[in-house]
Amino acid sequence: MSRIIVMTSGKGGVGKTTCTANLGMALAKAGQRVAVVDADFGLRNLDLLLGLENRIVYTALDVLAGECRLDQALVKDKRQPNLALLPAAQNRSKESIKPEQMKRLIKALTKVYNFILIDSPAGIEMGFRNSIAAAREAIIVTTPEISAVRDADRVIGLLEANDIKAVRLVINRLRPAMVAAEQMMSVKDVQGILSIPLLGVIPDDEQVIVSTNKGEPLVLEENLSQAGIAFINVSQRLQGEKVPLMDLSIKKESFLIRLKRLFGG
Amino acid sequence: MTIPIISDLLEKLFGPADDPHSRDDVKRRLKIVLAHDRLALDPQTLEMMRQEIIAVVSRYVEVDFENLEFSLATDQRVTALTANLPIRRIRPLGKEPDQPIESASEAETIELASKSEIMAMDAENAAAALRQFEQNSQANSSRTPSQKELSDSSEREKGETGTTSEVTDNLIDIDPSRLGDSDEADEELTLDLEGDLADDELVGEPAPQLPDLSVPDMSVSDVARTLAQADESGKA
Repeated sequence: MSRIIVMTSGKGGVGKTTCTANLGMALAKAGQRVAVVDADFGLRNLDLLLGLENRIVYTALDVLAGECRLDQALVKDKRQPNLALLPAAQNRSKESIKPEQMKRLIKALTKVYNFILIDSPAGIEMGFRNSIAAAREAIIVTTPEISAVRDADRVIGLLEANDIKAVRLVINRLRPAMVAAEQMMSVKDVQGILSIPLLGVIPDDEQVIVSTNKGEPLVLEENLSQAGIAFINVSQRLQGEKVPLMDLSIKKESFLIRLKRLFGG
Repeated sequence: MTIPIISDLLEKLFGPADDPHSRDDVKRRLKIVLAHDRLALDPQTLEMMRQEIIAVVSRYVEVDFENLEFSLATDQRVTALTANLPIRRIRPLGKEPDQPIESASEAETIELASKSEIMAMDAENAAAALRQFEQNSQANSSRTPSQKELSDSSEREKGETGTTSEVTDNLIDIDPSRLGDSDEADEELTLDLEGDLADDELVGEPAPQLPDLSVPDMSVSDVARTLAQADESGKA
């Protein structure tokens, strides 16, 4: 039985696509056969984060129009053969595909792939409805900011209404120093407010930008960054392993340490 | 010149001055906004409900209008309407209202409705529940304490009969002379209307094949060990 998981957030720019690319790659590295589906028609980006933008020939729309077979549209990753991308059309709108058609595409993918990650567009309109149509699980990506958490809460309500019961939370871009200074909501705060099970926490990490510049997901690096480790952890939890949360807490410096530092210690 | 240097020194020694924590602000704002989002009630309906609750409660007790509070709070994806209505005194039913009650004869606890009635009052059938509540309350009106003592009271105000419509009118035209006269410790009547506005099955049962991380506070030593391992693997 394939796992069909939608990655969604409500708000844009919180890291849905980054999470999809890294989780997809991490699962593929672990030996799973993974298809990542870009459901963001008109504003596709998943191809860029995976570095596969130059290899797209056909898109999901061409498959639906009968202009190619599904396997012709799938872009197989050369670094990681277990991973394939089903690209969205860039020159069309989100209304150019219907939930029923999305279901047919995903159903066809389940014959070969055992993990299907659907990268949902921002918002709660047609593109969102397409992306959740076939999903059986959802990963809510949010950041510890008021607007992102509010939108996440709205999306959680919509997923419940659409009978997607397995909804889990990834908190992205946590800044432990700000949490320690009481200037950012903690993991516990956000999870307590949204009241859904926590799947993982990704610390804010400059390496994320470096990896998008290169088109190479963080989890492919040899020396994993903090965010890279966090993504690997999330992928292991998705596969049912028990992995403790990374410790991201920053202890407040004691008076003595500050005194020492002041005198060049 | 010297003052900034000293304050800089102090900051280095004692850490930054305790500036207000925006984390508390954001949590407070988020909880309020989510309570409203989840309830999805428009402000007019909310205001109507507020007026009706005050009207019903005012039929039995005199409410302190200056200090009443209505708020929506949300916990575990369940939204609750909390009405905090400080009570000045009991209004005797069928007798002239606004007679002061001897403090010795004041009711100690005031039960607004039975638990099941409160549960029934979700957002959709608030009106129906309110009607049921009114009927029950009228049936229980014999519980209103010490009508005898009240009728003996010397401070009798004439001209108010305590019928529903007139009492409701009093809500709008509050006599300021009566608002200030009672400084005794006000009892507070809190009315919680909880409704299952969300499907809590979701919270209750995480998918079986996944580790449940919903309780993120693992012990400090666990966390430290994980970090140490991560560090080592990073160096290696």
